[in-house]
Amino acid sequence: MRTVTKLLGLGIGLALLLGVWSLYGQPALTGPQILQRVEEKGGIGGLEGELISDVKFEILGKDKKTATNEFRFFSKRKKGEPDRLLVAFVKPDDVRGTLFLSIKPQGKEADLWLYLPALGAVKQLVNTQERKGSFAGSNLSFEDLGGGFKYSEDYNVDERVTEEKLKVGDKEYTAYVLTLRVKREKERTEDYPVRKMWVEKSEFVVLKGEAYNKTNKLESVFEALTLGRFENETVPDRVLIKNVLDGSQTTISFLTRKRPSQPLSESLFDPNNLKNLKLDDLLKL
Amino acid sequence: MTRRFAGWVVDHPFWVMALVLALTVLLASAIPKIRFEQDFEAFLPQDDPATIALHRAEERYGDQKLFMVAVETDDTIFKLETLRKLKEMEELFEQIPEVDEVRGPTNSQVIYGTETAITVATALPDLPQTPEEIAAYRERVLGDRLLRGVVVSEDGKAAGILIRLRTGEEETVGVVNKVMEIVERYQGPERIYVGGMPRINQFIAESMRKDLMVLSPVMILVIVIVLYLSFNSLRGVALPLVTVVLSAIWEVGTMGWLGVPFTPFSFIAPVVLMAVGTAYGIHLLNRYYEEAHRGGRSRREILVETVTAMLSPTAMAALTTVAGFFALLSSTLWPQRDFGVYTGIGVLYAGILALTLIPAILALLPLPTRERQSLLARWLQGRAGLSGLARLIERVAIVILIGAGLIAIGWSVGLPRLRIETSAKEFLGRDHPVTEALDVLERHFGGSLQTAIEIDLGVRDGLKEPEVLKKMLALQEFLETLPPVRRTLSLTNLVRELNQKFHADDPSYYVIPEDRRLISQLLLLFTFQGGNLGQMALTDFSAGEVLISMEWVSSTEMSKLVAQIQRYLDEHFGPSATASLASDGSALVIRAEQVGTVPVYARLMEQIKESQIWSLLTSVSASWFIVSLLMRSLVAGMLCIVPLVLTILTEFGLMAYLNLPLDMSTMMIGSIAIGIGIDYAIHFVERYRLEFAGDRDARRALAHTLAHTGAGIGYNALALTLGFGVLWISTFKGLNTFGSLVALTMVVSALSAFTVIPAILLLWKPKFLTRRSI
Repeated sequence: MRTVTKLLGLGIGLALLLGVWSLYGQPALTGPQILQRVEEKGGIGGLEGELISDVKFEILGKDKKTATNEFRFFSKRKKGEPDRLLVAFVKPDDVRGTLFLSIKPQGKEADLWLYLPALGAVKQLVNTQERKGSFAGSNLSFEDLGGGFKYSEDYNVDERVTEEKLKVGDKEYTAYVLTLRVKREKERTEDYPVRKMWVEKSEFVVLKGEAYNKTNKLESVFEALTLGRFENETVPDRVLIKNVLDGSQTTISFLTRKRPSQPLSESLFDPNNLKNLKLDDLLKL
Repeated sequence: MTRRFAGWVVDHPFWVMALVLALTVLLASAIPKIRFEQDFEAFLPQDDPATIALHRAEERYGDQKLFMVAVETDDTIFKLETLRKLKEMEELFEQIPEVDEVRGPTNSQVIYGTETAITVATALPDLPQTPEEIAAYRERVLGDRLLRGVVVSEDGKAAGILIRLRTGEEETVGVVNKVMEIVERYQGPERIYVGGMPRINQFIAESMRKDLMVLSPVMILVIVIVLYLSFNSLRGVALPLVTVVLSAIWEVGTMGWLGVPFTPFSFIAPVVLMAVGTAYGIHLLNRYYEEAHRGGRSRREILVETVTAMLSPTAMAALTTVAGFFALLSSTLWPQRDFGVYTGIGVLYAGILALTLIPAILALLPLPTRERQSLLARWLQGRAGLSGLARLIERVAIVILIGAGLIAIGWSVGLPRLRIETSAKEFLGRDHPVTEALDVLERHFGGSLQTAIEIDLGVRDGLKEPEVLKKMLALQEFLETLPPVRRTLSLTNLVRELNQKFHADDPSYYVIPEDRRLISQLLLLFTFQGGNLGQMALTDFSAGEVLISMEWVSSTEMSKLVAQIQRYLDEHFGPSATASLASDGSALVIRAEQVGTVPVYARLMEQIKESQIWSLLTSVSASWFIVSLLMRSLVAGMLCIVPLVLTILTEFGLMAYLNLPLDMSTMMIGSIAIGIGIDYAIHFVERYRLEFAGDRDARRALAHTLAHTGAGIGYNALALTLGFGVLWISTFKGLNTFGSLVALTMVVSALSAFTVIPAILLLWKPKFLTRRSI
């Protein structure tokens, strides 16, 4: 299903944020070149190889009520093979053990399956509609995460970029400020005709993003709250996505990131095997 | 004191004019600041518990600005041409920048469940090409409980497109215009209507502006005609007209400076003021001509005499009128209070301007050379007019009083039949396109009025408890047995629907699952699909709403409905009824509260009844007090009240017999009728007293009073009757009724002043007649 495809996108997006690029000694870059570097960090396929990560979503609704979800993500990406992503729900207890599986052949729509432990059944999820929705009730849209910050397909980037100082935590970073404008053919389906993106200058980490709606009002803000290190690269540990118009927001915390000690079993990504997977076993991996 | 004031005004005309000009410029500068407020919800009493509950719910669940475009056909919407129109309109609505979501029969989400898969699809991704494809689509849409009766009527004859605006889009008028433009392109043979609060508000805003553009010039024209008929002279027309136009400018300027908006009630304040305010200029000029035609005195002496004689009755008349309008302060609705206060202030301005500006200008003009009696004046003062009336009253005074008493009893008998109703639909008029749209929505889509009950458990995920959902379902089943309720919607509908889909679409699974975990997991899937729970649940599932769609019934029926629902809630959601509902055996306390607009309307109706009685009592007592004080006689005050009682009884009695309800606009009439109507009595009694004090000859005093002051009262009554009659051309049905009823009360109170008061004074000569007033 399309929204569940977002899970795949989430993996891609997070993988992108993990990437590194060194710019030392590079000549001045244009907007499109910077966006290309940002996308190359993760690229369409996201971080290569296998990755296990624990992620927490803290959702603050426009009603000021909160909800928290915790997931374990298993991703497997290899050139020439379909991208695979398994999402296991850890918290809250009511949905513990729920599984989503996404298998996305290169250049094709993802196939998605769902396992509900309370029902004890696996269902394939088919979504043929174009509707955009929020990810798990959060402020993330498919474009924000599903696209893995890969906006070049839908947007043109202004050649000219400016630079700004930006603080994340206690540290100040120099960032390129990119302005993205939606391509004419995407105007109908894209909610945000204009976006701005603050990209850290040396490692091309996206530190901040702003999305302006069709009435030219700032609607959505993405912000890296804390940055950490993974495999010697700078990565965001906590990010905030906020709808400034209705006050709702989602804080995403990356609790752990690790490479599996042994290669991830193919059975993890087999739809027919979903109902045999036990969460406790998955958490031991 | 009075004479000294009159002397100063007459001796310093340029000072007076300069001061008036300066104040006019100052106040007029604030007129562009005036804004329009047309949201009916904003008019509700904000401190009432029902309104507080409504706003709290809006804060928690969002104030959804929804339109509905209804497409009605004679046969079916399941035709290629109609489906094409619907699809194209949905796409065009989606392109409006301020629109967040469009949900119609072709683009809605449909969910199918099979043994192995769940499919989420668009209801009609491509236009069907064959009759079989159309039939399959029809089956798909009408077979879906979440679409049937929502985007397609049960009989397939109408389709509805819901349009939701983006959060933060406060300015809805522009969006409505864009929607209306698109709708116009697709009209015929299908009938397309646009409903919803944004459309009602757009119509009201548009109508207020249109009305102001039309009513003001028409009112000025009416005043010019009446003044010409009355005085047959340029100054007789120009001076009262300048006075009322200036007082209207001052009034609106005051509103502008104080940041008071125009509402559908108060925007007519300057128009009403022009009608009411002419009285002071008319009476002053009437006296001026009378004094001038006596001759033998200088211009200054004539003017000083005129102002001195008119100061007391004008002050009394103005103050009682102000009291009448100020009595609206007891209204529950702030737009009515605003209307009362600012029209009252405007009346004061008109009174002050009549007593200062008119004599100042007259001080610079030569005295009228000859008596140019108008046609109306000749008729009024002729044998067939007031002179004839004086002779008739002398002969049949007792008959008049008995007749008046019988009429009063006749009207009083009808009073218990008077209905109290509150409805925006009535205010707009039943035959207006906006009301028609509401009717279409009612006919095909389960009601045009939405209200809600909030179910609040106060604990996270409380709504996911099977027993809680079952209680909510029982509540919905009860609600759907109540006649005005057409359909209900809550989390129970969604959970049952998902449960069925996940069990291979087996209808036997259209039930609340017993397992709380399954409910949670189904809802998780729904939100993962991008599903929006909207008002059905808060983010933490601690509370949600049961939404009720119902017919727009009378407010009496609304009150009955609110009471019925409350009894059910008390019985089934009280503390004893809700213990031990949680899966783990712990007790849950459910707070169930009616939070929609219907309880607010019901409360409003009760308050209208109370405030109507209060405003009538306030204005009657205030008028009595003011007249008694200024005439230094309680009896005089009482005498002036007599025609008013007759007028009020006539108004309410007539409304009762004609089945016209006492609503948001007509409830203002009582106070206004008293405030304005008492003027006739004051002018009459004051003049009669002056005449009677001379030779104690009641018959001569009556003849003189009717011949002179009676003419002024006649002009005044004509100006007011025609002036309020102008509201007949207003776009608002509520104002049409208001205008015609006030016009009627003007006629009745003038007739009463001409007949009942003289009859009483001829039969009984009270002592106050020989005392001087203040």
